[in-house]
Amino acid sequence: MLRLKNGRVYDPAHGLDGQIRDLYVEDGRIVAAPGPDARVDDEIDFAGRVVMAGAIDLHTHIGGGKMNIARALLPEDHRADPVPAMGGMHAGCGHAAPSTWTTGYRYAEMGYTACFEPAMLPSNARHAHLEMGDIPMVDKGAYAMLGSDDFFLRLLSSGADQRLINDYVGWTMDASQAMAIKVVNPGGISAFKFNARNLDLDEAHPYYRVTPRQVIRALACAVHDLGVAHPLHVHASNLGIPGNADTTLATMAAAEGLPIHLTHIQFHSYGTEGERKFSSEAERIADAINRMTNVSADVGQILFGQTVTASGDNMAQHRNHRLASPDKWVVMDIECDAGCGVVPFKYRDKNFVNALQWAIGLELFLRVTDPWRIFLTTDHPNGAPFTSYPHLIRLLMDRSFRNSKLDEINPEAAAHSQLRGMEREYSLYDIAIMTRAGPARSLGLADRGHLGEGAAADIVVYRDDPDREAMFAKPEYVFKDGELIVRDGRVVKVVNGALHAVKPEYDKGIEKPLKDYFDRYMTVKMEHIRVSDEEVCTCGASKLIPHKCKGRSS
Amino acid sequence: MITLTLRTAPDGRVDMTGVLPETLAGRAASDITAQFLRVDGNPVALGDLFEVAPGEGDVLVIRTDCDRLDCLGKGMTAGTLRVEGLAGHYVGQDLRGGKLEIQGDAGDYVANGMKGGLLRIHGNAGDWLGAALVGDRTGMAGGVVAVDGDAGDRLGDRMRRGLILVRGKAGDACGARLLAGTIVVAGGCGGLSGFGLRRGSLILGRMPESIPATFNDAGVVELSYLGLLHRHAESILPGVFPPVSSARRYMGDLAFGGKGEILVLV
Repeated sequence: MLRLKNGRVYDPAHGLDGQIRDLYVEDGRIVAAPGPDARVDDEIDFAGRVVMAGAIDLHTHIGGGKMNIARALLPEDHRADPVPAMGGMHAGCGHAAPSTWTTGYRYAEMGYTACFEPAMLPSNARHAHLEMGDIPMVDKGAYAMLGSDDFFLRLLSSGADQRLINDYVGWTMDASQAMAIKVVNPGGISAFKFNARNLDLDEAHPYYRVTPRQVIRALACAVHDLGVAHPLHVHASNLGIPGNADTTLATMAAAEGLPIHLTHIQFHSYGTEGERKFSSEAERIADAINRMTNVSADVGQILFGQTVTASGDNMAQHRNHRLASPDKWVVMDIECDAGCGVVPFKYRDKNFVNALQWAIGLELFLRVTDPWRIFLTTDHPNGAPFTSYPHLIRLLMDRSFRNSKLDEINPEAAAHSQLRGMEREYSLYDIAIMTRAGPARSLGLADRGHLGEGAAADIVVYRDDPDREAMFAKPEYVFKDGELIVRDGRVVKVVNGALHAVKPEYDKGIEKPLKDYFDRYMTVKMEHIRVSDEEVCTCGASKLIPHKCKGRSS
Repeated sequence: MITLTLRTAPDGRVDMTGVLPETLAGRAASDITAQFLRVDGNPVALGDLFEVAPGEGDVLVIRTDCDRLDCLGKGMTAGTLRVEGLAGHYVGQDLRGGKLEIQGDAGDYVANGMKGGLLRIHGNAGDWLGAALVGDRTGMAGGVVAVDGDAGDRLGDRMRRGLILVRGKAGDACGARLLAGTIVVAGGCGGLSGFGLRRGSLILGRMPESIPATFNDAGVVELSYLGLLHRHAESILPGVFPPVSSARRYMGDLAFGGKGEILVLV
C-alpha cells in the first residue's frame, strides 16, 4: 500500500477544495484509510502540493485517420520538431500533428490520463483503434461519427421507426467499439457531395430531403434511449461562418430538451456586426448554455501559431481551403460514408478575425457559469495543439496575464471584445471540474476524474506555482493506475492505456438489413467492419473497459 | 580550425545535425565533447564518437573513414566544413551558406532543399542530388553544387533554382520534373533524361542514352549565355564546361508545358 500524505486535494466530485487529505493506493485503486496497524510499503509527503485526479480530454483528434493525412501533408511539421528516443521512449516528432508515441508522452507529461478521439468513422474504426492503440500512457476512447452516412439518411428519409434507428446506432457503437456518438455538420457532409456548399439547420438535404434538425433529433433520441452516458456530441452546422450563432442556438433547441453536447462552440459563436461583419456572440451563446441545463459544450479555444485543422466537415474545410498556410490542403470522401478535410492554418494575433476568435473563446469560458458543463479543449489540433493547454489555463486563472495578452492582439479586435472588463478568474477547483470531474461525469466514467474510494489511482501532483502555465506544464508526479509514470514533467515509465467503450443493448435483427446493405453497396462485408473485443487489445490497448448502458424504453 | 576525428566506425547511423562551424566556434573541447548526437535515434555524446581538437576560426574538419555520418552540414549558414573522407546521406540538407567540401563519396539525398552556399564533392554522389526534401514540393532553391565524380539517379529532381555541375556522368531520370535552374553534366546521363521537365536547362556534354519522345529537336542553336556559363563554371570546376557558343536544343517536356530545354553541347 502506498500513502500519499498531506497533499492539498482538489476533488470536486467529493467537494474537496484544497483540503489536506491522505490518499491510499493499493492495486491501482484508491482505497479507504486503513487502520493504524495496516502495512504501508511506501509513503510520499505532498505537503504544500496540489493533488488532482488525472486530467481527461474529451475532444482531441489523436486518431481516426485524419491525423495520418495531416502527417503526410506536413513533413515540415515533423522536421521542425524532432523528439529523440530516451529512457524506453520511442523517438518521434511533430508539433501540430505529433506522432502517436509523442502524443501519448506529451499528454502524460501534462498530467492527462485519458483522451477521447471525437471523430471515428465506423468504416475506419479498425484503423482508429490501431492508431489509438499505438498511443501510450493514456486511456483512450472514440466517438463514432454518424449523421451523413447513407444507411442512416435512408432510414430517416423513409420515415423509419425511431426504434430501428436506435438499433442501428447501437449496432454502430458496438461494432466500432465507440464511447459515444458524434454528428458532424448533420447531413451536410453528405449534402456537399450533392454539390451543396451550405446546409442550414432547417434546409432539406438535396437528395434525401431530410433536414439537419431531423438528424440531430433522431440521433439525440437514439443516444438517450440506448442509455449512453455521453450526450449526442454535435459539431453544428455553419462552422466558422459569421452569423452562425443563430444556427447554434437553434441547434440547442433542436435537441428538444434531450441532453446535447456542442463541441468547439467557439467556432459557432459568431455574429455579423461591425464594419467587418464579424463579431462576438459569446454572450448570447453563454447565456443559452447557462439557461439550458441539457446543454454542455467544449470551447475549442484557438491559440496563436501554426497548426493544422482536421475535420470531417468537408463543407467547412472546402470553404476555408484558400486560407491554407502553407498552401496545400486535402478534402476527401471516405467510403461514401463521410468526409474529411485537412487544411493547415496559422492563427495570427495581429489578424482581426483570428484575434477576435481568441477573445470569443475566452469570453465563452468566462461567461458560462457552470464549469461542470463547459470543458477545456482547443479541439486539438484545430484551434491549437494540445500542448498549449497550460497556457490556456493561465489565461483563465490569471486576469492580469490575460489582459497583457489582450494588449498584444489586433487592437481593433481587442476593442470589439468585452474580455478586458471580465473579472472572473478560474480557481483550481474550477479547473479540476473542467478538466477532470466534469468530463468524467459527462462520459459516464464512474471510477475516473475523482479521488474517492474505489477510483482508479490516476493521480497528478503539481507544485503550487503562481505561474499557472509553468505549474500545469510540468506536474511533479503523475500516477496512472497507481504506477508512477511521470516525475518532474518527464516520463519515467512507459505504460499502455486501456480503451473505454460502451456496450448498448439493441436488437440484433438490425444485422439482417445491414448485411444486405453492405453486400450490395459497400466495399467491405458487414462482418469485417466489426471490431471485436479481443481485437481491441491486439490493436494495442492494454485492456477493454466496457461500460454498460441502462437503456431507456422510448 | 576545429578537427573532429572519428574514433571507430559507429554501430549505427549517426545524425550529425548541429555539428557545424558556426555552432562549434569558440567553444571549449569539454563543451563540444558533451554535445549529444543521435545514433540510430539514441543520444550519444559527441566525445564518445570523435576525438576533438579545438581551435580558432570558422573552419571545421571532420575526419572519417566510414560512410555512416548523415546530415553533414545540414542547415549550415556560414564558415567552412571540410569532410576528409566519406559522407553518408543527406549531405548539405537545407544548406544556406558557407562552404561544404566532401573529399570522398557522398550518399543519397545530397543538397536536398539547399538554398545557398557552395557544396563540393570530390568523389561520387548518390541518388536524388539537389532534389526535394522528403514530402516537399520543390527541391534545391539556390547555391552551387560541384561534383567531380558521377551522380546517381534523379539528379536535380524538382530543382527550383541554382546550379549543379557534374564532371562525370549522371544516372537515369536526370533533371526529372526540373522547375528551374541549371544542371550541367559533362559525362552525359542515362535514360528518361528531363522527364517531366517544366522550365530550366539540362546541359549535357554528350548525347544521353535516349531523349524522351516528348522533347522536340529544335536543331543547333547559338546561345550567347553559354559563354557566360563557361566562365562561371571555370571558376568553380575547371574543364567541366567547354568554351562553346552553340548546342543542340531539345525543347520539352512537351507533356508538361514544354518551356524547358535539354542542351547537348556540340
